[in-house]
Amino acid sequence: MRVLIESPYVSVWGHLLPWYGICILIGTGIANAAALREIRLRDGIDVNDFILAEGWGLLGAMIGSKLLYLILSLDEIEWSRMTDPSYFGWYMRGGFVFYGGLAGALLALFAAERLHHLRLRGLLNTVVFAIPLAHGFGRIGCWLTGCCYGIPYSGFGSVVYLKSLTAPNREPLFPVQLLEAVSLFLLSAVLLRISRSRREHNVLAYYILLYSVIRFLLEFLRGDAVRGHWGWLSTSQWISLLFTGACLFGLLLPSQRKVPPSTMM
Amino acid sequence: MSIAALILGIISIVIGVFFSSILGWLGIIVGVLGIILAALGRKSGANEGMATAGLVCSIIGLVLSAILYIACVACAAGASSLTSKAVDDASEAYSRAIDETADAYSSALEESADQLSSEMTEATADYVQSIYDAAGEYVKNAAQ
Repeated sequence: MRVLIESPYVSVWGHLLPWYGICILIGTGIANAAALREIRLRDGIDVNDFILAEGWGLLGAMIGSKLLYLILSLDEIEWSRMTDPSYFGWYMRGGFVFYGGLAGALLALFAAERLHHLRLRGLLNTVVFAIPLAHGFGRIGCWLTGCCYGIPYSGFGSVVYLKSLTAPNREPLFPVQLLEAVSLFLLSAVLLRISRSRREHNVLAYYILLYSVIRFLLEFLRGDAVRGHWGWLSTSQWISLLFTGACLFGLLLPSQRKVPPSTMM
Repeated sequence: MSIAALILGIISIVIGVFFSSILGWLGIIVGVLGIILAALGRKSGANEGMATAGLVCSIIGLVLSAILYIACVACAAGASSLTSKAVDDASEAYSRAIDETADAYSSALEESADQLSSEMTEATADYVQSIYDAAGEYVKNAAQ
């Protein structure tokens, strides 16, 4: 069974809308709704803190993912054209790296905690499941657009793009984006389960750990290897290994909080 | 803070509606800043209604700026890939046309091979091949 994807756009009331944007919109909406519902199920979390965290996270993610993209594509940018608004606008539009976004978001949350005197740990543990949920919808958008495409593949479920701006057209490819979307939805369910358990867990660490493993494995099925490569593995795979190591290290360290929280009121 | 949130929200809506093709990224940033300020405004308690209005406007502006703007978030697509894609497709079509012409010519030659000496046939086929190679070179250079 082969899927033919004609266009990354869909015509809605005479306007051409990119599938990718629609998927992100739907995914973000569903993820936010799920996160808000989860917050309401628990006491003690201020919705405004959630909004702050999300705002700062988005800001950090944008800056971080753009920075990493810049670092990875340093020699391909035409610096002399940077002052041209259309070139700069085009540059800002395409090209982000997820791991840069993740790192940027974490740094921004750290800054937000300091700046606004917040404690975000409990909130993060509660809502981090929503991130791979939204991400999964984004991957469906990737599948519809032809970005982050897979290796050449003619078997069941292969996808052929006709007018993709990023994938090789008229060639059957592996739908790695769909596989990643399914993995992310499963990951989200697992994280939600962990966050609801009675013991307190560092759900964020589990997220980064499990995502890194998923990403490392799926990277082998990716066909857009023009992106950063370093030796045998792609940049993303190296970063995945780094994050996996860091998380394992953090999770397996003996807990310093052997003394129960003080009950003095 | 709440007033600032509302102003930023309105600006982000304006950018989203009218300028999202060039300034969409700015609309996203302005929208996010509006959301942050609105949340802070709501927490502080003063002017909570306006802060909430600022929040709603900022979210709408963020969505409007983003949906028409973001091409592909999770890809580190090469900076040149979008512009040269058009050239690649054109050169691919050109190569294919050359290929097909060369094939047609070769098979026509094969059919009339008994009327020409085999050396002539080969020379012509070589000539066609050299045209194809030259076209490929031209296209490769044009794509750079």
